[in-house]
Amino acid sequence: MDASCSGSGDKPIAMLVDDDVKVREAMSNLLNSVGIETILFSSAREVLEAKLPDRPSCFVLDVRMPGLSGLDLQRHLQTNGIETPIVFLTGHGDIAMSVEAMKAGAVDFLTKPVRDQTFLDAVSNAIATDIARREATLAARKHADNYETLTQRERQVLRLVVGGSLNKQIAFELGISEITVKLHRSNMMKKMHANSITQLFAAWQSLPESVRRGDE
Amino acid sequence: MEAMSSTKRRAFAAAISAIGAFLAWVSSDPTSLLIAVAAACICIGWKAGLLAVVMAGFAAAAMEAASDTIATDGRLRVAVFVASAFGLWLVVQLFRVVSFYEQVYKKTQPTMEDIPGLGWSCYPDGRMRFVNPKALEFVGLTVDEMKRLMEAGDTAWWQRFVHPDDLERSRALWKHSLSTGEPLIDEQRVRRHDGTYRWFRDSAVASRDEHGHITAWYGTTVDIDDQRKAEAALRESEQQLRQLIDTVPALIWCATPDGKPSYLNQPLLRWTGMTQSGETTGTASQLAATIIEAVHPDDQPSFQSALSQSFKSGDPVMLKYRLRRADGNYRWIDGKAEPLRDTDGRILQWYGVCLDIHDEMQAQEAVRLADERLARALRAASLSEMSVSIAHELNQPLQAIVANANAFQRWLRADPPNLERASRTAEWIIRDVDAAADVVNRIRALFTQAGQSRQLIQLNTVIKEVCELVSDKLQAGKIRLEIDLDPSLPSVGADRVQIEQVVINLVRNAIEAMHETPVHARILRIATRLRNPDMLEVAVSDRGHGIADSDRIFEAFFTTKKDGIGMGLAICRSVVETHGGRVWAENAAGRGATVIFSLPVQSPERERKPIDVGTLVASKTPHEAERLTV
Repeated sequence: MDASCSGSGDKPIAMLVDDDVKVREAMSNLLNSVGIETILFSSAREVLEAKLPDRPSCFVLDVRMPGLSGLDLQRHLQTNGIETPIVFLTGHGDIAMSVEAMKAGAVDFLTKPVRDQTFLDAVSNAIATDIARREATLAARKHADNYETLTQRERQVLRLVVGGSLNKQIAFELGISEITVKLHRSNMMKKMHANSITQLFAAWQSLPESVRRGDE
Repeated sequence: MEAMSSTKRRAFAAAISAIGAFLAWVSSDPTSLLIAVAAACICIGWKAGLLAVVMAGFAAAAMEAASDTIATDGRLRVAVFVASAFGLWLVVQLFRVVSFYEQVYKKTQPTMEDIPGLGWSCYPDGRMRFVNPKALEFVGLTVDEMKRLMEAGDTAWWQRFVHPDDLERSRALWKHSLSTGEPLIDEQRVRRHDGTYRWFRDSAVASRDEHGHITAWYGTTVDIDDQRKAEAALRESEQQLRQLIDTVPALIWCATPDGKPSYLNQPLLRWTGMTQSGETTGTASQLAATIIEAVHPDDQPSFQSALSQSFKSGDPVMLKYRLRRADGNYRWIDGKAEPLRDTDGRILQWYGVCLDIHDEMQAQEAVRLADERLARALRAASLSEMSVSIAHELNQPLQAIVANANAFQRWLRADPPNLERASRTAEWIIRDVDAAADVVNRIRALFTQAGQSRQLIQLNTVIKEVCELVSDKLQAGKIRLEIDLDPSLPSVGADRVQIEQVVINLVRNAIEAMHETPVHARILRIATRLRNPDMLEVAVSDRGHGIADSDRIFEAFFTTKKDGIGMGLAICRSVVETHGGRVWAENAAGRGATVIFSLPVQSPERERKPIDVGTLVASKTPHEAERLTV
């Protein structure tokens, strides 16, 4: 693998996989010309063996490659839990193939030769998707951390609040006074950095399912 | 080892008697007469007479010797005669039970013991008299035991050594032989010393004296156990073979060298229903008539001619025809027969097999129809496949060129312009364009390869192979094939595959041209001939509609078929012309058309150029031709 531009931070990067060096370099050249960094791989195997960067990124995969095909690589990445968006490039895409790829979560399926703007849009789109995905993951992690700071009682209150219960009902449910419920609730909202019930609910939704189910 | 034969002995006896009589007459002495009679008695084996004579002789001699003293004593003479008569009677009585021949043959006993088999002899009444050591060894008896057994009577022997299952029959046979004197031939199981039974063949003959009285039985017993087993195995394997032949789902027959059916296996009889009508009992020619009658009337002439041809020439029979099954339906049969020859190559027997291929034929017909559809589809598929592969090959560099060109533009438009990257990109563009040109060259090379493999080929062989290849189509189209090949055709230097393609193409066209021809008139004729020493010709004739425009048919994309693409004859022409030959078409006077192509006998080396796609489209006026771009 050869990285044509190695930067760091949160700058997006496109990972190009194509067995044809001409195409690989040309696509990389095009992306570089609009300021997107690239990493080049000559085979799917190389991707699976490499340590992938922890940055907003996307894959550009050639479907037809010797050894593992682009679609094979997509499956492998999925089983490894890598959710980086994928843009497929193919010499002769048939409908069945593109349907399969799209179903498996590809962002785009482009036929060679592809117009430069179409390609650049697809890559940008994929990177945007990745950025959103990374942010969501990040937020979920933050909420989970916040949740960890809650006391047992506050967690009970949280569960009942997002369940739609009123303070009075919560008080009855937990066998405590309504005043105490209000106190717990206020502390809980603060710790969860939630200003409204909507924000609290969104945070709750992003928590891992095991937490939400209550098996702790 | 044995005495002279009885006639010899009688002659001998007569001679001695005559000499004796002569001597007696000459010497006037009766003693020599006595000696002569005694010698005669020995020779003819009359023991009582012999003894009487011997005794009388002694008595006479005694009298003669004592004649000086007691010659006159008549009483003594009488006494001597009486005494010798009494002694004579005594001797005869004494030796009566022991035959003279026994004494004679006793001397041969050691020889008999040496016989490499089990030998024995019996008294005329069937009692055991002698068993040779080998036989004793076999049954495991000592001489003494055997003697005791003999004294116990023959029943003991039988019961002890003969297999109980064979006892009754063997004894009956033996008794029959004893009573009639007929030779004994019997097979029985005899117990060996280790208790196992083995099969033996007993053969015994009676020994007779001059008067035809049985004096003894002499027998040999041969171990035939292995033989019996081999015979049994043979019988079994023969039965298995017969079962096999009658069970295999194939119709099998045999015929005499001149073609008369000699055997039909059960399935064949069942299949044709000949068993039911009892026609198998008929003579060979009747059977042959029955078989021919069962052949479909349309196939009978070819069936008969092919068979008689094969029976005459000895070539294997290979024939497809319809045969009437027992239910009255005609079914397609694949008949094959091979002659069995002796070492001199003479045919001993014909072996044939008929396979019911009706279902396959029908399936084949269905497949053929599907095949034609497929072939049509394939023609399209191979074109699209080719375009796909070409597209892919070209796509890669094109993609690179497009992407790099765009990048090039962007590097230049950037602020400030990135000239370094732009120039590198420009280099890449040039490299990619070269790659694209390479692809085009490779595709051209692909077409070029086809014309590279010239070798010396025999056109007649190629044509025969093509006929085999299209035999299904001929049969399906009910087309008769006439081949008229010039055996003196020299070989030509050509690309075998390409020439084969040409012939196939012409034959297929001819077949397709006869779709609407009446069945009886569908004749495909392929002929080869040497037009002049340098040029040979192949003509493929059909009985179709003929060709309306015999000049244009060789042009590309010109077709008279509703689903043709009009490339076949164009390719043919291209191939033939590449080989330095010519192809043209003629309409026959009556009906149909002939397409002829010629090839030079010594295909010029310089003509070795690939089929140029361009020549396919080149029409009669070259400057009008549009070149086909890949």
